[in-house]
Amino acid sequence: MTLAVLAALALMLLVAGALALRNWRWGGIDLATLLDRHPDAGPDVQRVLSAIRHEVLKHNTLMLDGLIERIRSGAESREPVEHILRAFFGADGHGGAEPRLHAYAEQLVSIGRAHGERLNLAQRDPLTSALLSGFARMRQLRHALLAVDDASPAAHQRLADELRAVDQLLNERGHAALRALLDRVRLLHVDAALLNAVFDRVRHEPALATASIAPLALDPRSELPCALALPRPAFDDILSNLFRNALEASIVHGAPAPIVVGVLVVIELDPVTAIERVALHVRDRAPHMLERAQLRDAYIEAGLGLTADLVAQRDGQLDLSEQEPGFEKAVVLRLPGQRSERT
Amino acid sequence: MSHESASASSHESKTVLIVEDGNEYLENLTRFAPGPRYLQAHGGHEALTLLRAHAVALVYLDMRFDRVPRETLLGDHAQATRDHGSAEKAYRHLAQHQGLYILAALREHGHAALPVILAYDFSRELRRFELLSRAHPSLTWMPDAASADEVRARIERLIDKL
Repeated sequence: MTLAVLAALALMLLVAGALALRNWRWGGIDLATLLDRHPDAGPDVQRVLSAIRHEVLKHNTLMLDGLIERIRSGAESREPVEHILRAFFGADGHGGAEPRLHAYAEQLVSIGRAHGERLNLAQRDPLTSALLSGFARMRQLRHALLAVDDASPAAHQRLADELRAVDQLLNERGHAALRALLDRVRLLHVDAALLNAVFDRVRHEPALATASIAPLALDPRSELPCALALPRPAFDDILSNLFRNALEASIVHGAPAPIVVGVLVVIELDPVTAIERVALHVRDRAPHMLERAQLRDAYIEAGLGLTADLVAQRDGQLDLSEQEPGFEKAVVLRLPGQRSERT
Repeated sequence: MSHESASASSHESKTVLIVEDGNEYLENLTRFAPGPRYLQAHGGHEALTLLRAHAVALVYLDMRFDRVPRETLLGDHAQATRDHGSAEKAYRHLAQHQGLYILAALREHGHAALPVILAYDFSRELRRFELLSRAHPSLTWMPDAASADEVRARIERLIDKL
């Protein structure tokens, strides 16, 4: 009887352990889910993805494709094989795309952990699982590759097919997943409805409820819709602070009623890089003037200290404009723009 | 520092200048896109020096230059600091877009007509590429996932035009 109980307990423990192991292996989330749940993780994830693109993926197609051609043609391949293996796995414990990938994967796991999530990069994430599998398959081919010049023509073709499978994992599945993730991180579509929604939420805040405030005066010359390279919550925080500041300054400094706050959206182009920056001119009629230095030095008293920090974190900039027809001034918010285009 | 590598083919009389922060393009193009004579520069200043000394048919230009000393980066660091809020962010910006600063320097030094392949995927930024190519009409781009065949064909097509 006792033995039977012990056996049942052991079995239960075994099943529970197996379930826990299965949950550990297949549980967790992918990068897309992390970005959906925690849009603020976007900039950190984007930084690592860009590094993976540049430091892990960039030369693989050229090398693999070139090697596959050589092997299929039966040309001597030992030297390019050694070159590729060095590029993939490093030499004497230094360098190599695969060790770099593992280091970036650890960074991604840390980013997930900082947001209270467990990333399962090996099993659940389309990008990293493809890359990790691709490098693992390549590693399995090492010995066969190094012996390729002594192999039969049939073995050459089999090896080329195996390399093509690696190529597909890294350069087709990997690249496609990377681009999809970067698109997800990058794009916030800004239109009149979004600007009006943010403004309406601010003007109905309790502290402003008794003031007479006109609807947002959106300049018809605004270049809308446009796209920004930052997550929606960050944009909401920054723009809400600027609207709130403009409304409070108008009340405190006696702007005529009803209080009018305006917005002009202009897309500026860097002449060297052709990178777009979206400039949002948040205009008010408060006669009190700000100084540029107050904006750049995160002048707390003006209520813009926190905003200046948020803007700087997003690679943006605050400036002041006094050439705003119909208004006294504008705080100009410049943020990295992003074109959404598909081939 | 510059590096020269020559290989035999019908295009060996033409010289391609690779401008990159490491050695990957030189190593890979030499092996997998043989034919032209390859020269290498690790930055804009060195590229301009080589262009003065050699008849270059084509420039193969990388975009990011994270691995070169910061003082060798082209571009107005003071202006970039104003635009990006800190000296560190300004350096990062210049390094990440250095290929385009080098491209601008090529134009300023009389090489606007020189064919340039920029190793950068503009497939999601076609309008941006169109704007860049207005300033540099002989600019083309090569995605990261280009095959050896595609790279070789592009290089040959551009240098055969000359």
